[in-house]
Amino acid sequence: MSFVAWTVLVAACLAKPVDPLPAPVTVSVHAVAATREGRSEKYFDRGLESIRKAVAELEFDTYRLVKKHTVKAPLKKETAFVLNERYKFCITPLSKEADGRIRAKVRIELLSPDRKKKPVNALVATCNIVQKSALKLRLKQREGELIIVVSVSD
Amino acid sequence: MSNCPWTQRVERWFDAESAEQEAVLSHMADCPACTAYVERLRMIRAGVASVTERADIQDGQFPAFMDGIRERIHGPARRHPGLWTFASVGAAALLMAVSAFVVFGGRTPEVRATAVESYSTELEDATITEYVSENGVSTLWVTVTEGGDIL
Repeated sequence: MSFVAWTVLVAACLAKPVDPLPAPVTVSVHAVAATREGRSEKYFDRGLESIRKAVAELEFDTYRLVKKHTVKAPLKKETAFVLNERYKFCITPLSKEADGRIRAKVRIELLSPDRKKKPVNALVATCNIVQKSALKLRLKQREGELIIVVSVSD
Repeated sequence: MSNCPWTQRVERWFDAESAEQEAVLSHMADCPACTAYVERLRMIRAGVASVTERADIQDGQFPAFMDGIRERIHGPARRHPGLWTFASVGAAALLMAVSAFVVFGGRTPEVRATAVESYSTELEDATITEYVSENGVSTLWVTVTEGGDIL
């Protein structure tokens, strides 16, 4: 066998195997408008049963669905979608931690009615999110609050 | 051994070292102890005579031979059973520790709480409050000063 062939063979043996691309993270977002309408029992729009526990401590009695969206978000790349005419949700999964949590940067953009103006970051946060749990974001609105419940899984 | 005063004379007769055979036989006719003693001597002599093969002990084997005799006289030599027990328990403990490290060492225990590392806002007059609700949900609450309105 020639010297070149031996070199190629040794280099192939010593080369670090290329890691496959890490699997994307599944991000599930429920955005709801929470208000007080004087109900005796809490009201949830259809499809919001899964967030009852996450908002249990809040004093609002009406929860209306604004946006419900599930997306596969690749690691280290921002994934974004509009929640309503005023807010945009952005998430960048940074890493999958050894303890099972997913480290991610979450950003809520406040969109300006004037589309020429640059959006403002209403909230930027870096979190280690436990899978099968939730991260809750509350933003004051003219009436009530916009509540965003975020859950992630790998 | 018999307590009869004739015992030594009976032994000498038994070893054919005595000339008073008639006297000894006459005594034995009246002494059951000496008769029984002579019978035991005969049995011993017959037993010794039945050993046809005799082992020769070489010089190199002699210390071990004597150790065997001493052991039979003074009891078995101490073999430190406690040492082996201690060593066995230590080996078992080491094995369990290594197994536990292999099983659990490489795994970080699962964490149940979402942790917020940092947060900020670009909104004027806005503040962010972080809290964990009773059901364990981490929350970031963006509020504005009184009179303010995010929307």
